[in-house]
Amino acid sequence: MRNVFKKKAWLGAAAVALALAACSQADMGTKTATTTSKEAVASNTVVAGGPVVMRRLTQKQYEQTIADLFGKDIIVGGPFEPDQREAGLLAVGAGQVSVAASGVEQYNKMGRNIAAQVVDEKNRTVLIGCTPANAKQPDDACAKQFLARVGKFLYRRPLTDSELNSRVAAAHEAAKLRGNFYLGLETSLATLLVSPQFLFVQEATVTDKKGNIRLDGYSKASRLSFLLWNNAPDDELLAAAAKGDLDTPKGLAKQVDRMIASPRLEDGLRAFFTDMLEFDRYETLSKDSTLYPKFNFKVGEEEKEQTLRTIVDHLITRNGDYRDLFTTRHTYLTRTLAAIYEVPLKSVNAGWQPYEFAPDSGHAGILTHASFVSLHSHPGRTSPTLRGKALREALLCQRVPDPPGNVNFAIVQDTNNPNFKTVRQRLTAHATEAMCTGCHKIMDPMGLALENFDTVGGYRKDENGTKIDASGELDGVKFNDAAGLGQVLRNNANATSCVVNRIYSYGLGRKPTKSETEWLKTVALKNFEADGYKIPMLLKRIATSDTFFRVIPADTAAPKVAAAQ
Amino acid sequence: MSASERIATRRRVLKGMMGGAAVTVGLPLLDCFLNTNGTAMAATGASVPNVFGTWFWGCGLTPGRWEPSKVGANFDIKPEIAPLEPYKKHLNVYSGMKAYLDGKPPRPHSSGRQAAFSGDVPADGKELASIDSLISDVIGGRTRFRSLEVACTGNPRDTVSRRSATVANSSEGSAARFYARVFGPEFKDPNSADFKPDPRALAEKSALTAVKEERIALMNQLGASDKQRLDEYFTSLRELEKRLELELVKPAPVAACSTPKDPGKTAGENGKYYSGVDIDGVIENNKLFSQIMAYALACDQTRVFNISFSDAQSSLRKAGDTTTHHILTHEEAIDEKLGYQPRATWFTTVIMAGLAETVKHLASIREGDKTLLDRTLLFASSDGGFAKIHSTENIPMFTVGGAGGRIKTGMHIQAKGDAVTRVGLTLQQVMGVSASSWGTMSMQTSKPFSEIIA
Amino acid sequence: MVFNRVFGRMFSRASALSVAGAAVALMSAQNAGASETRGYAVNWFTVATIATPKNCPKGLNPLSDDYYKRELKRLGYKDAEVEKLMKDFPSGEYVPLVTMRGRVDGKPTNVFANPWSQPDPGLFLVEGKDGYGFNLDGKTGPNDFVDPETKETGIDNGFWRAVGCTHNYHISAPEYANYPYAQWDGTRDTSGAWLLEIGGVDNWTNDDDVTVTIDKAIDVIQRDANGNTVRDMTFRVDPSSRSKTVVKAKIKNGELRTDAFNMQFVADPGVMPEFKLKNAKMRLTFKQDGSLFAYLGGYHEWLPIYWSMAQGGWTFEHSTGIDLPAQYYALKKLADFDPDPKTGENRAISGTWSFDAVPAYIVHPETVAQK
Repeated sequence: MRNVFKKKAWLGAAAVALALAACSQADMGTKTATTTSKEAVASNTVVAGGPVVMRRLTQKQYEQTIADLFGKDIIVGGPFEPDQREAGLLAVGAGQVSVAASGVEQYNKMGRNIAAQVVDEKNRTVLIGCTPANAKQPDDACAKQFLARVGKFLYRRPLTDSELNSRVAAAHEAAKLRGNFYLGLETSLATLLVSPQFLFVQEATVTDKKGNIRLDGYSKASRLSFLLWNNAPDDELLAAAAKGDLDTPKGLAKQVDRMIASPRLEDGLRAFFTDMLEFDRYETLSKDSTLYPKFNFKVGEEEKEQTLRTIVDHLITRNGDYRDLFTTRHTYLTRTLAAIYEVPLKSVNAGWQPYEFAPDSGHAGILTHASFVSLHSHPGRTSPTLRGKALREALLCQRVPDPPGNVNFAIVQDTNNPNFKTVRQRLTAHATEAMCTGCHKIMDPMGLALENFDTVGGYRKDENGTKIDASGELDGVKFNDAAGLGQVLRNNANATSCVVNRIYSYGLGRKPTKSETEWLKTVALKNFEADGYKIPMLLKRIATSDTFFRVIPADTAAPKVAAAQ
Repeated sequence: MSASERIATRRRVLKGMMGGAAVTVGLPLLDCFLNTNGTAMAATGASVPNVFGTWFWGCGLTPGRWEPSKVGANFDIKPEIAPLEPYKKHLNVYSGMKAYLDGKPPRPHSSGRQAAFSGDVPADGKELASIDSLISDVIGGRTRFRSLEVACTGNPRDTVSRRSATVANSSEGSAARFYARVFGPEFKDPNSADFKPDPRALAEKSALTAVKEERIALMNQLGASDKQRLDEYFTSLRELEKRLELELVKPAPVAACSTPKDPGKTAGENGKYYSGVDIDGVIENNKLFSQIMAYALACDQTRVFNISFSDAQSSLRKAGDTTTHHILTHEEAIDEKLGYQPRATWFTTVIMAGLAETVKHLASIREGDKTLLDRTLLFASSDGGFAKIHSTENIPMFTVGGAGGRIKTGMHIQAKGDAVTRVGLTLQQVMGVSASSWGTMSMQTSKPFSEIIA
Repeated sequence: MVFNRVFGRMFSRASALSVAGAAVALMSAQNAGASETRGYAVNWFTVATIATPKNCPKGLNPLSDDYYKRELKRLGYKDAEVEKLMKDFPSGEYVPLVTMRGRVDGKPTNVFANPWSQPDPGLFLVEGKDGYGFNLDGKTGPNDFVDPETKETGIDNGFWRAVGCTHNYHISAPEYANYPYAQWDGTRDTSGAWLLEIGGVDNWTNDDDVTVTIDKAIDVIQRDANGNTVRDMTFRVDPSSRSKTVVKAKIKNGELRTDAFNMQFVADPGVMPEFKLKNAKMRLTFKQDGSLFAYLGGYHEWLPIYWSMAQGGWTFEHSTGIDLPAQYYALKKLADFDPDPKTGENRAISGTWSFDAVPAYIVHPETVAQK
C-alpha cells in the first residue's frame, strides 16, 4: 500500500485521519496503518538530520542565474525537461530526476546559445572583462580570468584548480580549432553550462572537529539562497561562506536577515507558492474556447500572477497572517481578469490594479481565485472532485488515494440527463456506490463549495437553471459557501502544519525525515503560531536553525529513507 | 591527445578494420565501428536497419468491438479498428492480453500502460525502463538521436518512453520545433555531395572532456541514488558526444532520404502550433509529427521513436463539448440498442484513424521495392482495456510493419488472459534484444509468440 | 471617476437569459423605482447587407481584371497588348497604366485622387426593394427599399443601391461584406472601443423613456479565443465629447428605437477619420446571451465614404473588385440629402450599418457624469 496513508499524528485532526483511513481501508482493500507514531523528540533534542540530495536546477533557477550573471537581455531559450512532482512539490521531484539524452542535447543547445551571446561583439566588452592580446589566438590569462569569475557563480563555489585549468585548456584548444579567442571562450563556457555541477545543486559535506558531518559553507549558501531567493548565492553570500561566517550563528543570522530583507525574497516566495499551488500546470492548461472564449494562454498567465501578487502583497508587504490568504478579499486585477470575474475596475490604467472584492461578491481567499478553480477543472466543466483533491493535497498535505480499478461508473449519467442537473446531483449519485463513497466523501464536500465558480473562474449562481448549493463541510465543520470554506480552511490546523512542512521539504529537496518531522511539529510549528503565522519569520527560523543544515552520511542515506516517510 | 588526434586515431582504427579503401566514405564505417553484435551494415548502406516505434493512446478500446473473431491469418476487422483495414497485411492484432497486478494497488490509467510498455507494475508506482529503451540499447546507439519522442497534445510530459525511474524521455510537442531539431542546421544531408566537418563540433567535442573529467570527483561525494542519477546524466552526455562524432564524419548516402516540408513555414500565426487536447489539433499534430518522423527514419536520424497520441487517460475532447473522452468512458451510459457508448467510441475510432495516419506515412516512403513500413516494427497499445471500469484486462495491442522480415504479419494472436509481457518479449526478440524472459511475478514470461517470429 | 449609476450588468450570465425577469428582480432588490443602465462594447460593426437575386437582375459588376482590360482598351491598347500587360495579374506592367487611367488635358492622371478624370463606365445598381434601414425622410419614394425584417416601406439607403451589386457587398448576414469586415477587423484592435449605454430603463420590454448614449472609449477592446470582443470588460470613456451622442429612445415589445439624432464619432484615421450621421435612427434588440444587435441608419457625407475606399488605390480595386471611379459616380448620383446651396447637388447619402455589442462596464470621467 502507499505509505502516504500513514497519517502522522500531528498532521491531522482525528476526523480527517479517520476519513482518509476509511477511504483507504474500506475501499482500497489494503492494510491501513493508522498507528500514531509518537516517538517524542523534545525540542531540545539534537535532530539527526537527513541525507543530502542532488537537485536538478529548475527552469526558473537556471534563468535567474543566467540573468544575474550575464544580464536579462541574454536569451536562454528552451524547452527545459519537464519537472516531476513528488510529495506535492517539484522541488522534491528535482531531487529524484536525472537528465535524458534529449535533455542534455537541449541543455547543450541552450548553453551554446548563451555562450555565443556572451562573447558576441556587442556584449563581450562588458561581459568578458578582459581583452585578448590577439583575438585570433588563444589567450589563457584572459580566459582564466573570465572562466574563474563566471565559474564561481555557475558552480556556486570557486572552481578547483583542475576544473579551471581544464576549462582554460578547452578554451585554448577551441580557440585554435576555431581560429578565434572568443569562439574558444564560447566553447569552454558552454561546457560549464552543460556541467552537472551547474545543472544539479550538489551539496558537499565536511566532518567537523567533533566528528559530526555537516554541510560545507558553500552548500549552506546554496541551500539558503535557493530557499529564500530561488536563485544561486550572490557574491556576498559566497564571501560569507568562504570566510566560514555561515558556520557561526551570528554570521548565519546576519546573512539570513539580509536575504529576507532583500527584494529577492519575493522571487523566493513566488517560486515556492508556484510550486506548492502547482502553477506549473498552467503551461498545458486549456479551456474550451467555444464555451469559455474569455480564456486563453495570456489569461492563464494573469490568473497565476493574480494569486502570486496577492500572496506577495499579503505575506511580505502587509506582513500578514498566512491563514488569512484563505479569506482575504484584497487582490490585484487586470482588465482581462476583471472581465473573467465580471466586475468593473475603478481605474483601468494599464496593468495591475489593487482590488478588493465586495463582501457579498462570493470571492474571498485564494481558493476563489481563478487560478485555483480554473486549474482544477476540466476544459469544459468544473470538477468538485479535482478541486477537493487539490485542496486536500496541495493545501492540507494529505494524500487522496487513486480511484480503484474495475469501478462501476454506470450510475453516473451524462450531463444531459434531466434528472441530474447539477454536478452535486451527479456526484451524489456516483458517491452512493460503496466503492467510491469513501474517497469522494473527503473530496467532494469541499469541491462542491466552489461550484459557484465556473471552469474559468467566473461566478455563477446556477447550473442548467438550478440554483447551486455550495454548502459543505470540512473535517466536521459545516459552511454555506466558498467564503465559508475559506474561513474553515483558515482555522484548520492542517493548513498551517502543511505550509511549514512544505517549506522545509522545498528547502531540502526531499521529504523531512522522521526526526525532522518531529522537529517541525514541536518546534517550527509552535514558533510559527507564536509568530502570528508570518511566513518571513518562519523562513528565518528555518534558515537559522541547526536542523536545516544537519546531514547524515550519504551512503547510509539510501533513497528509501526519504521515501519511507 | 587532442580531439583531432583522437579522430585521426579512430580513422586509423577504421582503416585497419576496413582495409583502407572506403575509409573516407564515412558514417557506415562509424556504424561498423560501434556495432558489436555482428549485424554490420555494408558500407554502401544497402542493408537498411530495422526501426522500432511505439504509438500510445489512452482509454483503450471497447471490448467486443476490436478483437477479430477469426484467429490467425486473414482475420476480420471489427468496427473500432476499421481505419487500419488498408494495412491489414502489415498488421498483427493481439487480443486477450492482461496486466496482472498480483495484489498491488491498481493505478487507473497507469498500471495497464506500465505493464504493456515496461513489463511490470511496481508496488510503489515508480516507473521503469520502457520497451523502446530496451530496444534502443541495441539498435539506437548509431544514429544522431538515440530515440525521438513526440506528443500530439503538445505536452512534453505525455510520453511512455523512459530510461529509468529517474529519466523520462520527454516528448517534443511542437511540429515546428521537432522539424528544427531533426532537419535544422545541424542536419547533414546524407546524400549531399560536399561535406566539411564543422570545426565548432570538433572543438565542442574536445571541450566536453572537461565535463567528463569532473565525473570521478563528483561521484565520491554522492549517495547511492544520486550516484545512479549522475551516472544517467553522464550516459546522456555520452549520447551528446556521439552526436558530435557523427557530425564530424560524412554520413552514408541513404537513397530514400529527403527533407520534408518545414511546418514552421506553413504554420498559422507566428508559426504557432496547436497545443492541447482538442481533437482537431491533436489529429493535425499527429499528421505533421508522423510525416516528419517518417522522413527522420528514412534519413536514418533515429531508429527508435515514440508517438503519444493522447495523454495517459485520453483527455481528448471536441471543441464546445463539456466532456472529454476520458469522462465519457466513465459517465456515458451504454446505449442499449447499440450495446456500446456511442460518444466515447467516436473517439476510439478517431484514435485508430490517427494510428492509420502514422502507418500511412511510414508506408509512403519507398525504399527500392519496399517501403519504410516493411523494416519498421510499430507497437501500438493503451493504458487498459475497457476504460469505463479502468480494466487492465484485454488491453488492445497491435503491431504494424514487418521489422525487415523478422516478424510475420497479418495475424490475429488470440490469448486468453496471457500476460501482456508476452507481446513485449516477442517484440524485444524480434528487434534483437537478447532477452529470454520479461516481467515479474504473474507477468514474468519466457514465452514469446514464437509462431510469428520469422 | 465614477461608474454609471448602476453598473452595466448586475446579472450573472444565466439570469441574463431572461432580461425582463431580471430587471424586475433587480428593482425589487433595490429601492423600488430605481432605473437601470447597461453598458456594451461593440463587437462587429459592418454595413447592413442583403444579397437577393431580385436586387441585382443584371448580375454583379465586373471584377478588376475585367474592367482593367476594358479601361486599357478605352485608352487605346490593342487586345494583344492588353493581354500582355495583364498577364501577371494581379501585379504586372498594367498597374501604373490603370492607376493613371484618368485624363486631364489629355495627360495621364491618378484616377483614384481624381475620379472625375475618367468617364463614368456605369455600375449595375441595386434595382430590387430589399434593403435594411429606416425611413429617414418620412416619405416613400421610387428609390426606397422595404426592410426585410420590419417590412417597413420608404427605407432610405442610397449607399446600398450604390454598392449592393458589387461582389464585395453582395452578401447576407450573418456573413460580413469583405471590405467593411477588413476595415473593422483592423480598426477595433487599434482604436478605442465603440461604447453604448442604455440608461433610465425601468422595464426592458416596454419603456417609453430611455436614454441611449454612444461613446468612444480610451481603451481598446480585447479579443477572446474566438476573435470576438471580450465580454464584461471595463472601458473608460474618452473624456472629450468629440464622440458622444445622447438620444432618447423607447422600448416596445423588447425592441428599442431611438428618436432621430445626429452623431459624430472619431473613427479610425486610417480608414475614415470621422463617422458622422445626420438625421440618424437606431433600432436594437436584446439577445438571450446578454448581448445586443442593432441597425443604425442615417445620412453620411458621401465624399468621405469614397475617400475611405480610394485611399487604397489600386490595391483596394484588385482586392475588393470595386471599380473606384465607377463607385464615385454611383455615390454622387444616389446621394439623397443635404443639397449644396450653390450647386444643388446632394452632399450626403443615406445608409444603414449594423453591429452587435457585448456587455461591458463603462467608466465615466467624474466631471461628465455629474452633469
